[in-house]
Amino acid sequence: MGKVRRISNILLGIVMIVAGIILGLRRNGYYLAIVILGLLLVFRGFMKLIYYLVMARYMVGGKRILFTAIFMLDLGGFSLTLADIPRIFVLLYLLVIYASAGVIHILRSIEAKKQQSPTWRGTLVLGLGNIIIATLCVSFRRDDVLVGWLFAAGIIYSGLIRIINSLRSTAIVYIQ
Amino acid sequence: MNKDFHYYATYCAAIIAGFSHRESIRICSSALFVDMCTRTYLAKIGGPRMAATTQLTLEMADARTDILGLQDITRIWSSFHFLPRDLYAKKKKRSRIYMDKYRLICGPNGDLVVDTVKLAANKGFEAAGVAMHVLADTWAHQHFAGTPSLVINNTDDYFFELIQKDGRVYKKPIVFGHNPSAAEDVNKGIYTNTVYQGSENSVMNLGHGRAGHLPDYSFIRYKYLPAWNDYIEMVKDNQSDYLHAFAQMVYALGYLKGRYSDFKKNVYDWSLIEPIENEIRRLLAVRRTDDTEDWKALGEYLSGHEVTDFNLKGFQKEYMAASKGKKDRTFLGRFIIAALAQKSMVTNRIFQSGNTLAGFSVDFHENGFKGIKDFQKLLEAEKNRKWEKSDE
Repeated sequence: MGKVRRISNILLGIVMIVAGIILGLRRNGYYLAIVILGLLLVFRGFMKLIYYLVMARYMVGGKRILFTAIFMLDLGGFSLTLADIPRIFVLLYLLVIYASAGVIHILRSIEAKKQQSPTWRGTLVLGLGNIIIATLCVSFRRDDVLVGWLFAAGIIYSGLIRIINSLRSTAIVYIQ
Repeated sequence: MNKDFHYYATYCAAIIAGFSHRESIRICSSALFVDMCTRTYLAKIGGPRMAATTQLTLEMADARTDILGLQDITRIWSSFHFLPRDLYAKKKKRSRIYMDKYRLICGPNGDLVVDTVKLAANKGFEAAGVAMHVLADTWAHQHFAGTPSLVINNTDDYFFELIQKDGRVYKKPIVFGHNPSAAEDVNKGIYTNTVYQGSENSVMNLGHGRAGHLPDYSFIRYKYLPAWNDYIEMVKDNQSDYLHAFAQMVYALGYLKGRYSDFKKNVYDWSLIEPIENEIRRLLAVRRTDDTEDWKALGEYLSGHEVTDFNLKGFQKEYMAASKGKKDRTFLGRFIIAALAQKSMVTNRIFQSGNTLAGFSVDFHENGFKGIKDFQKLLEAEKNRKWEKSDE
């Protein structure tokens, strides 16, 4: 991991922790969270789309970049349209995204273990944490204040893991 | 390519080209040192950091990937390990930003190889060694670029070793893992490569990282899909490439020795290597990741001397003990000047082609000295060389 990526990951981790605290303390904090999430997804999707048009469309397997861009834009746009929907549905939507991220982390962990990469344990813990929090939120879905707090705890947890991962030394294969 | 080729095979090539044992040791030591001269090492001996010819794993891990950081990485890797084949290559309907990266793809027999070998003429054995490293790597590292780029250096899972048996060619799937400390198994076809990184400028997308060490093993023949080749599969025959690299090194060293008046592309000294060609073909074909023992034995057979291991401690002691004015006459001092000259030349050629991925190049003869301070050493070396010549 390079210095710039390390610093940006730490900053993102701090933003996630602050967003988690705001989400937990404020009754309408989820609205702020979803707006930030939506804007971030739209921005990253747009940047990916430009990258695809300028460079990646000439690359073997470049369609993968296009699909990622479209998915991010779509998800970002959808997120921004959720402002007037009752809180519980918004939180469930956020939970689905959260649980999906957990599943992806677990799949990545299985792949990393197959390839004997030492990072698989950390990724597995992150993925399981995501799934457990999402499951708890669904279980207590009638108590939207509790669900809000659980979701906030999940975001704070993800932020902390991101910061810890950024501070760890990372092994890179490089070829001479 | 590894130590076996950069040190022992280069020694063999120098002996065949007519250099003495002592001269050949200096040439091959310099060729090998290109893979060891990092900023960290230069800081330790008090040398100019800009003369770095490679980067350590940790240096890479902490390398900046902003514009200046990418230019620094590109200067090092394009100048010494992935010399671009054609800085003016054309491809229809491609954006400028794409073409800047595409034109840095490494390959043999480009104009820059000629410039590299000619730059080393009359500059001593250390400069010859640097040029031989660069030349040899144009064969091993072809089809990859010395700049971080997903769209150029990425590959997909389509990798097959081509094994010839009983007159037929068999395809054997190649499996990659990503654990740098895991052992590779050439018999089972298990190798290590870098992890897929979707970011265009990630250092994981530098050079042939996505193809692992396959380009560095002489025995292997394989086919794969490079990201830049419009879904056309590429067959890489390392045995043939390494043999061509060796024959071209013998020719280039013959030119540097003064046997030929000019150095040209696509010329090989097949006649000089003919007596040992079968032995070279045999050792290149053995399925293993290190040919050191066989190249060393061949070198000792050719010269009649023991080929000692690379003596870094001795060279370092010589450099550290030399007074400030005499450092440039030591092995490391001469290597540093040769490295700065090579980096300066390649950066200039890339910049002149309208490509700023390796940074900006200031033409001293037109604008005076406005570049990075470390390169002042080149001017001093040039002046000293002129004085030495006038003294003669």
